[in-house]
Amino acid sequence: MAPAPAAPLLAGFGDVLGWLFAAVIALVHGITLVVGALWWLLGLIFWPVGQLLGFVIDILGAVFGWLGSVIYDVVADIAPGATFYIDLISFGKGGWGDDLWTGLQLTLKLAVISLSIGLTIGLLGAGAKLAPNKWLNIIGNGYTTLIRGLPELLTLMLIYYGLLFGLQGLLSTGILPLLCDGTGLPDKLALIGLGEDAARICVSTTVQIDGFSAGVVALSLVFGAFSTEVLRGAILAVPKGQLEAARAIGMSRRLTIRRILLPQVWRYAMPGLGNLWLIMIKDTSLVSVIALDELMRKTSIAVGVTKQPFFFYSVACLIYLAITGVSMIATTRIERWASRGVRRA
Amino acid sequence: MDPSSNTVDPALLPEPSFIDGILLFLQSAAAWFVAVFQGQVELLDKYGWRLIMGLGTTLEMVGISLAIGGLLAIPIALARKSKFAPFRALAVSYVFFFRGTPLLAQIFLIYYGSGQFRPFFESAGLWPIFREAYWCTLIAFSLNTAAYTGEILRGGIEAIPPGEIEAARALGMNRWLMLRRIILPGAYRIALPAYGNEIILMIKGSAIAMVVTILDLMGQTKLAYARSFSFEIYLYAAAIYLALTFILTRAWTRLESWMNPQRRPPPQAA
Repeated sequence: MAPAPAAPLLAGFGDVLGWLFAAVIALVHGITLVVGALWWLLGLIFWPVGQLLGFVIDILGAVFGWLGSVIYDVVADIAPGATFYIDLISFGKGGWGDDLWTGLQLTLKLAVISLSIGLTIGLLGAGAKLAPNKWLNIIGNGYTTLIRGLPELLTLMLIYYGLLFGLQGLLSTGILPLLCDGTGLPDKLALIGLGEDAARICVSTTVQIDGFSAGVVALSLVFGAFSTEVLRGAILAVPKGQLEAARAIGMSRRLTIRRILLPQVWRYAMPGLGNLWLIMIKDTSLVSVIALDELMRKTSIAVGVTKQPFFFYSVACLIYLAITGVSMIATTRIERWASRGVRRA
Repeated sequence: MDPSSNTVDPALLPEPSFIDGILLFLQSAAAWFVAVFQGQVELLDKYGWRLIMGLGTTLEMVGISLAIGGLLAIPIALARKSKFAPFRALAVSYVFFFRGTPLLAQIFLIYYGSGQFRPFFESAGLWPIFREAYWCTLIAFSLNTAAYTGEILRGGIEAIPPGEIEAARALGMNRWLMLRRIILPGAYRIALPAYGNEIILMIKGSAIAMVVTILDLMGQTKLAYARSFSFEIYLYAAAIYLALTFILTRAWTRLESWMNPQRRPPPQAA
């Protein structure tokens, strides 16, 4: 499609649209910069802690490595057949331990990032569902109904292929170059130093969706929808009399939320959120379907090479069990800590 | 300029106004909508029956695995409440395993993992079952839902008022009769809302069957997508899943009120 119709199509409001886009992009860019700076500052503050932890982990690694080799020798003496399987999950050459470890790291990263974004969405969603505004209620209800009614796998596919096709469509129908020309976006973004990037994106022809981002978006949306319900229930579980009492002694709205509502919401929501966290750990395995190299896919790769499916899938199951087991212990601890000072029935 | 030509030099045209821009935009948007609608009719004509067939497979698998899982759940829940410690430990570890690992890993473990023990399964005459992705997935689904349902049922059994059990014992019922007449009916009634959730989770979880090449609703959707390269097919699948869960939620609310007549408002006195 020739870019000729661009001029009449956007003639009137192209410039306005361009400034609007530029403003939104500049805002997002600014937020990213600020967050990046904060992150950097945090890294600087915790640098000594990291060094110390690294040192401790090195020592632990040496100790456990020595212990492991001793155990390995003992096992080799008692049951020579078993060393074959130990070699398969070792971290050295020919072992798949390091691959599984990188997969596990990716799985955990996916889960933790989605947890933080999902909790934010959940808080906003619970706020929207309990707000006195009708439109906010409709948005909140629609969001939770939609996401909770869809299989997680389908949500993931919708986001993955939706992003892919949406962006590809923008490129192939010539809407993107048309928009770029019509709105003069590169020139406007050049003001904040993004001109070259914008110009490069405007002439690009193919898109690549990163499996990790698609996974994070899908898992956060799912976690957000379910945690909306959990948080809404928790907010409603706070006795109304307490909020009235807070107002009666003259607390401001914000102080009431901070001192009365949130500490108790946290307590009531903890069991539900812990459950959702376990579900999300398990849901990360779905992202392997869109070729992200997390634990499940690394395991499948190992199976493809070694032809030991039962052994490797059992190892993967045990790793998942370890994560969920540790999470269960941690959540019961947190629950007990959150409800300290509450009389048990 | 050639006067016989019916084209106008674009330079001579007046500068298009804001209104012109909007009108042109609306015009092209309307044309786009018509084209999209016709494309969708064509797409559904070609692949609609596939989605329906896939829905049938999904419902069939979920139904069978729920039935098997529901039967397995009773011994699991009873073992969990047993006074004999090894039974209890067995039930606890079974539930921990199936609730602590992803369903995908369980399917892989059964489907691909059984291949490692092929001689054993062949000698036992079970290989025709473990060779088929369909049966392996069905086994994984059944075992998985049995663990969840067992926990739900245990919750229901624990929530039965102790007075009812004492009354049954006072009437001289034996254990089996008590289980059949008092404990299970009460537990089912209490566990009903949680079990409705489990059915919905199972329907949603069954989409994973696609990964081992089963043509359930999700599998058919993926196949249709691979053939047609139109993303909308995923939206239709989403609509079907949404409708399914919506209908089930509604039906379940009805069932709950039917099974709990004591919760209904009393009939109005005339």
